[in-house]
Amino acid sequence: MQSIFLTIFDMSIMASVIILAVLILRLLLKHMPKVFSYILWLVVLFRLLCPWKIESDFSVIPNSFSGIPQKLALEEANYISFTETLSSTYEAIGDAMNGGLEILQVKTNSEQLGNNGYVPAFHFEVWFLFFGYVWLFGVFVMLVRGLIQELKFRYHLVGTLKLEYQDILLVQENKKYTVYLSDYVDTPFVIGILFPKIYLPSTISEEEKSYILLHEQYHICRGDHLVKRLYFIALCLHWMNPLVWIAFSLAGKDMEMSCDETVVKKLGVETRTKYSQLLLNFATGKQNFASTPLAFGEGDTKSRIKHLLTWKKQNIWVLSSVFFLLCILVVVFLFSPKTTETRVMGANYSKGTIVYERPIPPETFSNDAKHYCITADYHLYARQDEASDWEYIGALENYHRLVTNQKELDGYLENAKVNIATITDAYIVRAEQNIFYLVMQTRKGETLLGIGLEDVAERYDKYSDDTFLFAVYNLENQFKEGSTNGNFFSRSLVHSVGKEVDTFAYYFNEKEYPDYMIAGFLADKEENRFQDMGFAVFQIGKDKKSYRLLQYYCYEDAAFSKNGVYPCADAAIVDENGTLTDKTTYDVILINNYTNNDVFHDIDNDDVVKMELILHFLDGSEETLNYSVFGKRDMILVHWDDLKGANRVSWHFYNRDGEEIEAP
Amino acid sequence: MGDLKLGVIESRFAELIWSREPLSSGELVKLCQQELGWKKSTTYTVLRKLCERGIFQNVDGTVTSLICKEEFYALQSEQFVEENFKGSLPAFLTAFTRRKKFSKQEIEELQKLIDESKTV
Repeated sequence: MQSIFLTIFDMSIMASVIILAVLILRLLLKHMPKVFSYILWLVVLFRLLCPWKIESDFSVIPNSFSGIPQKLALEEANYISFTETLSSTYEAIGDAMNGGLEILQVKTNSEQLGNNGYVPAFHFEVWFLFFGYVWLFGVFVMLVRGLIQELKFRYHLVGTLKLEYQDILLVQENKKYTVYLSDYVDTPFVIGILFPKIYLPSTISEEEKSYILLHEQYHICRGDHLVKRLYFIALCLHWMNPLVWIAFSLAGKDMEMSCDETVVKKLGVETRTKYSQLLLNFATGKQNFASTPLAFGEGDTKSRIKHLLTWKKQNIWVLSSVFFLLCILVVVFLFSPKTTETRVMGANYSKGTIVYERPIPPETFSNDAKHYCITADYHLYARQDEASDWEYIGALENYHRLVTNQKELDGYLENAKVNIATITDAYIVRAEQNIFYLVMQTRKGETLLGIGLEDVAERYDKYSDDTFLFAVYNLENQFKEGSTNGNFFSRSLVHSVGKEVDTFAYYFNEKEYPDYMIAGFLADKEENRFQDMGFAVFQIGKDKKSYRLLQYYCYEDAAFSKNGVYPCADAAIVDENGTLTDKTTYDVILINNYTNNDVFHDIDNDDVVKMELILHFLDGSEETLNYSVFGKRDMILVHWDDLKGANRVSWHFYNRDGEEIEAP
Repeated sequence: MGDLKLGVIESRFAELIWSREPLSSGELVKLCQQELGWKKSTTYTVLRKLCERGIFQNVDGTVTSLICKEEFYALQSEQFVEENFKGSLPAFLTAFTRRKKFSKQEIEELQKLIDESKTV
């Protein structure tokens, strides 16, 4: 559900830009035939309803407007119920007010989670979840309201008299329009999608009839009854966007006005007074925000009359050039900005080439770290080299989106001789001793790190130039595909779990889940036994250069031993010294694929000569492997690779006579 | 007495009943189907509306009128004169003859009416 809400949200934002553009254009096109505005509104409708993006460099929508929700998306939270989201939202708001993008522990009711049933989530993810439900509720209310209005309306359509009329517009030969007379309607309108019907008040005169029918017929011809319904659906989906309501209202007006124009054009300019009189007669005065039919008298009668009376025929050259420009605009409006896939977050970097450096006194800054880590949840760590510990620098704040910061950034980058046009995203970390870091992503997908000195006293003085960048480096992403470099992922974990964790096992399943990885970790490096143990699920970014910590599970005292777990026949756990422990079961076994490549199975029964190992794969297939026990050996050695990534194994033991015996 | 106005279609429907009453509701339904193309439910709905206005009644499946046609139009004219001419018939006739004078035949008919009402 979340992804639906986020897609709609995304569409809404981008459509809003287009709506604003159309509003401006509409003012310019005031004296042009309304059909031009109508076409523009159709484009808006398309953008509101169609989730597929056509990406191009020529989009009018600025890059920062696109994909905002996707950049913050939570993808695996379906197990968090609505009531839990509610309370988490309050927590999130409270937390945020105390400053920070800290990860919240959101309580879930998932059975999969063992002990505490908590799952880490970023603040905005919780909010999005909450607003997703609110949005859904709103959509539901809108649809129900529309349905009730429709039913109430149709209820009045009893007792009608059917007439039939030929196509007055001569659009299609011999096409008959179904027209009904009714005593109970006070304004003519069109209703129905597949088979539109025209309803007229029975008190209508013959002359009036011809005008009205022409108008309504044109509506049907152009498919307006269908367009209006689609617009209503768009309104239901985008109810939280006030611009869409404005668009709906104006689109309806333009729809009517262009029909008015056609009628007057067809019958002659001198009829417009009579027609305006008709409009007055049937004026309902109400703005109809429903899905239901196009009523003749609905909407802004005054402006419709005004428009008709001031309308004059345009020069054919003016018309064609405007039309040509419009065509171009329509195509451009359909484009969405290109989204860059690379993410700065969730990656380890090493300092690369120097883009810019300016000597500064060593007492102001001397930390010359070689490695940087940007966790997926916006925290920056640095360390001198492989041998040293990671040092926490600070939390990243979004810097690029605030327009006021653009000028500052411009200034810094200019001094550093970096072209600001190449920067698509920037984050700032304010560290100690007035040092600040700027993490920037370029259009080409490269990452830059800027280090600067800030004159705190003049932080809010935009004319101050005592704040500057003294170094800009390229950051090289250290991610290696299939990498099991613990350091790469452990930072996020440390940050989330809150303790020093030691990741030791990784599991990739390239075939079924190429984007995910599970890492096992031990928490509390100090203790060697009975530590907290857990595993974390990471999502690898599509560019294969960044990762995201989705969730982690931490079990208290679950780790029995750091160096080896010995699963035992009679379910007793023996530690590395061979002593029995008082733990009798284990929930999770994590084995580092690359160091422990064998699985030992202890056999207590001397009669066992053969073991049949059945591999069960995720797709349901099975494979059988046979192992013989030689002599007096009391262990069967199974190579990890032999397991071929099976999801599950089961085994059977046989004695000399080929009979199956109890699994020891 | 309910609203004594009948819409164009309602008048046609009323006419069907007035010209054939008393008739069963089933017959009326069939009639409406023929003349107006109405479904059964439509007929019943419109009938109900007119019954509520006190013009017709549907008792045990038989439809009869509470006000017969002549009486209805008489009442309607009375209401019209009441509303628009404060009940003054001369005022009405004055307005009526504003544009057209009476023809000789009309004068004779009117005179006959006056004479008849004088004697009652």
